[in-house]
Amino acid sequence: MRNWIAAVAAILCAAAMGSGSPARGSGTGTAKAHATIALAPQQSPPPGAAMTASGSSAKAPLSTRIVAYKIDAKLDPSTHTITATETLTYHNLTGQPQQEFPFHMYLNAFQPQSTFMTEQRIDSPEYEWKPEHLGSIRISSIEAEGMGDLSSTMHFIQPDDGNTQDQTVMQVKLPKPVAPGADVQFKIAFTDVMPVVVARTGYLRDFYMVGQWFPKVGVWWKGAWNCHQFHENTEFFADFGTFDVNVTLPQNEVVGAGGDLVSEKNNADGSKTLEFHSEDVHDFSWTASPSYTRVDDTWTGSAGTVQIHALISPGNMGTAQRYIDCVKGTLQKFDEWYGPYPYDRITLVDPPHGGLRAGGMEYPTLITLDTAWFMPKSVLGPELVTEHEFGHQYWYGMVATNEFEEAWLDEGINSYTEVKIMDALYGADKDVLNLPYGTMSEREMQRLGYTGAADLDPMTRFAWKFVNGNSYGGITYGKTATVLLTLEKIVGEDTMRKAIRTYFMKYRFTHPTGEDFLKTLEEVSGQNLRWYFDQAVSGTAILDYEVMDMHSDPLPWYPANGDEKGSSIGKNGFRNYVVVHRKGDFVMPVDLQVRFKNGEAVTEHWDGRDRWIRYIYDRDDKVVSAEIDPTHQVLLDRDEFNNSHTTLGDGKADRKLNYLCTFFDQWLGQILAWLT
Amino acid sequence: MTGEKSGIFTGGAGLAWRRQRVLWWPFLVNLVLAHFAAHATMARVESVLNQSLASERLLVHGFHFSAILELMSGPGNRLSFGPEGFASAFVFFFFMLLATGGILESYWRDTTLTTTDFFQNGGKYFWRFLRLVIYLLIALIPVGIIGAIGASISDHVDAKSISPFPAVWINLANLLVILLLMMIVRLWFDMAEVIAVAEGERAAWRCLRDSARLLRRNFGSLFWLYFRISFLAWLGEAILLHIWVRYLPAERVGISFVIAQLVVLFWMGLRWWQRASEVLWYQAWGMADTSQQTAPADPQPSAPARDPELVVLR
Repeated sequence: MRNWIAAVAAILCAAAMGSGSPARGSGTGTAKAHATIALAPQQSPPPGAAMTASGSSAKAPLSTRIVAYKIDAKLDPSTHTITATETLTYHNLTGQPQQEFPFHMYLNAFQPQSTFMTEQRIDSPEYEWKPEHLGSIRISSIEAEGMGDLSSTMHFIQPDDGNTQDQTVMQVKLPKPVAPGADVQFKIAFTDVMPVVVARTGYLRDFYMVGQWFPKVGVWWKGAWNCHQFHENTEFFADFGTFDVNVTLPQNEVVGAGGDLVSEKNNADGSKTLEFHSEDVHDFSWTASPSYTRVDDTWTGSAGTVQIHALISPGNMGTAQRYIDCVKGTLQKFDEWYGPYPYDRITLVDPPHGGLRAGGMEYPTLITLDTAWFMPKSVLGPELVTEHEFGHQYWYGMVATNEFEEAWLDEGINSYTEVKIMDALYGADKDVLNLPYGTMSEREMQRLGYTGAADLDPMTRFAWKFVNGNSYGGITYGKTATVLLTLEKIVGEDTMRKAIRTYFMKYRFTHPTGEDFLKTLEEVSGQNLRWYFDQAVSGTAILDYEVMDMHSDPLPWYPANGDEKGSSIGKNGFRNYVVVHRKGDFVMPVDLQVRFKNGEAVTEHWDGRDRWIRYIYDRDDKVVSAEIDPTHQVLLDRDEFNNSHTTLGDGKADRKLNYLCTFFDQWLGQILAWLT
Repeated sequence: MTGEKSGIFTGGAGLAWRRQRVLWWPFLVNLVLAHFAAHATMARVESVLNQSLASERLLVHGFHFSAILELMSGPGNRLSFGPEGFASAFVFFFFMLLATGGILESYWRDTTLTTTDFFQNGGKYFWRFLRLVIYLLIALIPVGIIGAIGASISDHVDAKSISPFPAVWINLANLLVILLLMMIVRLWFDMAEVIAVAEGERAAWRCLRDSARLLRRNFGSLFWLYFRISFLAWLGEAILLHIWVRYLPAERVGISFVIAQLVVLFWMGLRWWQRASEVLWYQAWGMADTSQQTAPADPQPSAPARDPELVVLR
């Protein structure tokens, strides 16, 4: 999820002016929303169909399918409710009998007493509860095929914090265990009350984003059920399987979903029913609004053709092509660098004006984006969020890590690949802001996120246990990206790309752990990187080197015998001193480049183990500059300004900033003077 | 009559140009105060910028925002905007409160005042104008309430409407109404200050009352005069800012400073033009109008109360 990018972009866009964008794709078609339009029915099989997860059940599964959901849902827009029945077939591959099953009931998070809301108040004490924020999921009946009604065994559990008021995890107990290798079929009837969009899901005016909306079984992982409560800073974790979902809703709704449209029929009561199918995914979401305008495009990669469906809200058509260009560029780069995209579709959901809280979220083959009216091309907020959320199709969608416990594995790795791809698509220095009077790069934005919370929490902390949302964001997104960018200096950019690709290809459609990722990096690079991971991943040590001292002393510094005027001082040049100091506890080998007045440059390599090191050079000329990490690859260094020292500073930067401050202070005065 | 009133527009520019001394001094005071405030802010970061190669990031592509953000958020928060900027703004506010009387007196007499005269007049009107500022703040309260009502209507419409557009249009219309009302309020108080100087009126409320009557009877003429100059100011600012950010290379620090000062000077110059035009308008039309209010039997416009020979427009 990536709402904060859009927030930054929205603040800055007011001052923005236009500039370039990447090349456009072809084959775009636009259709104004009307009653009969929904996403195109099932696509024809693409080339390389063996790698493609589409609606056809004839193809070989890509994942170990543990769950099969069949859901019939009916949306009532007048009450913002969904009534549904669900049949879940669970295939017991846990290797042991299972009698108790936990289910996620995430819509219950939108209640004032929930753990989610409690955590929200900790982070944002100004947050006010409003009745329309209420969301809920209520089960009216639950039974297991051949075992009868389970309602009496149904109860809420709170495995994370013991908050008995929290109802986001429900557990049932079967009368008898399900044997290893056997199936159990649950039949559940439930009703959702959708909230006004608070976080990721809900409604706004005629727009619906329906996510985390059905009882979803937990994951048997590491010998136990893993089914966490819904927290403010956590996302999701589930098993792969198939989804067959029927959605009934008014005929004027334009619908998008994380599945292929299998059929569509109009009903006599003025409603229509859409049937979707999806496989080798671990979640299913959908969206509906009569106000959407649909824009379609295609992209063809190594695994076949991907249908791109963009559902654009009123006023945002100016951004539609930007979304599509970005997702095509991102598909291309992921395909080239990390591995094929095996699905035959991706749906881009553009929430309406005011629906930012539904934006910047990932679901399998469906992502929500965000923009603003009149968004200037020089503010790359829409591109950032598109790239980021699409990246989650790999890091979360296919490499399905546990987002509760190791959020850095999806958000962090995704932020790293986001930097690489945004740099490649939009230019390394200007892929966040590309204004005439200033630029900002994605890698710097990630780094600033990290430096703002550098030593508060380790990357490996459970997501809901971070000290606050700022630390969670700064560490999980920013620090992970910065750690991996810095790792490029140690193992090389090409090796990093190869390692990330290996990790994806090896662990797609599974639930790998952080250790799996780190081991892959070591195996591919052929290096023991534990010294780095222990400090950067598991630790909170600060990496900060500084040029502590740089000066030159004449040789000799004293007059020769009989030289009363002192003209012999400095006759033999200068003794130059450079002292490098490791301020933080993070030990990292660094390079130092020392330059002399005559243009000579010397590069030193220091292992950084001691607290400081002094370099001494006898030269004809004085030293003019010393710079740690001259290639600017050690992005983990918290303070870039103390990494160098120069005597050649002409004061221009200081004057520039000074003049700008003066200008703003003048305007402050002018504004007050308007009152006189 | 229309021709003569439009002459006030250009006549005001001429008057502001002839008496430009009263513009330069406030401009310089504004600049010096802001410079000291900026210097205090920059003192914490000056040595870092002059000795670090990382400061080069401020001299490319305009500059890298991340460099400034790092200076602000990095260890030690070197670049922190303290109270200096607000302090300098407040000092400038009080200076302008003191100077406005002298500026208007200079325009009224169309003569260059000595420094002593200038500040004597400033002191003479200081408390009156301070009271007017207080009244102005009170007058802005209803404007704020209207803005809040507009915002609440927009929220209500947003909650009820299927389309997002009506609420946004209401917000936009609300903003325009607020802007219009603020211009009208400012014009009202501008004329009150002119009356205070022209008539020697000591009671701020009487100045406001007479000014309100004047504005009500001559709204089109006065507002058109005020709006035209405001529009030119916005247009000029936009052009100057465009030149600054679009065409000046990032490393041309000196020229960018000059452009920045032109932006401020242009803004002040046009505001002074407004004040000069308002004085001329009052000399040509307002005094007659005010006389009609106080002595309805005499329909003839009367000459300026003091120095009638200095009236520019015939």
